[in-house]
Amino acid sequence: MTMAFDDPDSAPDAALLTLYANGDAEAARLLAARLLPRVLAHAERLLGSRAEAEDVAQEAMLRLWRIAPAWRQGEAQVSTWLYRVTANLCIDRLRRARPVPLEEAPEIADGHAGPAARMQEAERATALKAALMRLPARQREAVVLRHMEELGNPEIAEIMETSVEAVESLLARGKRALAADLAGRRAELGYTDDG
Amino acid sequence: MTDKPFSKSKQTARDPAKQAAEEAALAPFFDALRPEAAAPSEALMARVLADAAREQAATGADERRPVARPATPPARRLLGWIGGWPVLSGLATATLAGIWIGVNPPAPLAAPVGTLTTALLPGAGAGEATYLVDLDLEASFALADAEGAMQ
Repeated sequence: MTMAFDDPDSAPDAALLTLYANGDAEAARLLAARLLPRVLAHAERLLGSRAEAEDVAQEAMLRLWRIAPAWRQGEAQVSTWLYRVTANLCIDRLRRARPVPLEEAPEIADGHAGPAARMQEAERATALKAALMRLPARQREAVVLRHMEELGNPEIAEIMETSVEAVESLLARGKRALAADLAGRRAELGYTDDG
Repeated sequence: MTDKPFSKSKQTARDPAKQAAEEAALAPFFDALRPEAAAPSEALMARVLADAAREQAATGADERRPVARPATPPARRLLGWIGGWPVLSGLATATLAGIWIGVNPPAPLAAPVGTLTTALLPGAGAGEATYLVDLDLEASFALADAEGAMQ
């Protein structure tokens, strides 16, 4: 079956999902290329583990394939639905897992060790990752969606199935906790007090 | 957030300057972490696409698969051919009626002959079964004449 769009790359996610449900194999490839990196990154930021994030990403995408025949156009964005499924899968895993001590916080997968500046960036990322993992799950999810995925508060509210006001509150508390957590490491990581 | 002073919680009623300082302090950390998201491995992508193909095939097979119907017993199939229970009960009634009429013909069928023979056989009463062999020879001729006259 051939794609119905002149430029499949510009087709909306929901249209591709419908094509997939109608048997278009190319639509699956395009959707996976578009959505899997975001799902994987989100899961990794929420879980702090690449291996677990891969499992969650595969499961979230599987749920997407399964819901495709029943997907109702215009009801929700595919990406919003997928972020929600991913977050729920991550929360389920986190509830089953023990808390991760700071010493066991995941390392940055960075094969470009070398320049001191790059090392320092990696250490900052590691510090933030570890601090994120010490946040309550809902605060972490809100902070990651806002500052990593760079989504707007209304979309975050939709993903988290809560109000925009609740998202603002989660973000404020989450960032305050992160700032307090990282305050002691700022000088160590090459930051001055004025930012 | 709300403008009502009494509804401000300790969590949300915050100094904007302090919030801005927190944002500035966290920004470099977010900047450092944001590009970290690595692309999915080829192995993961292959697993995801394999799932997609399998689910797509399963869905397609479901749509194409004819609905399995339970085997129909021969008697029920025959019943279906002749038109179902209403037709079968009608047939049964007609069959029984035919047998009954054959064994014990009702009076109206014998009435024309009976009417004639009553006249020709003074001893035979109405409703009494009368047969041609009961007539004597002359009466048979008279009956034949009478039938010829009726036609």
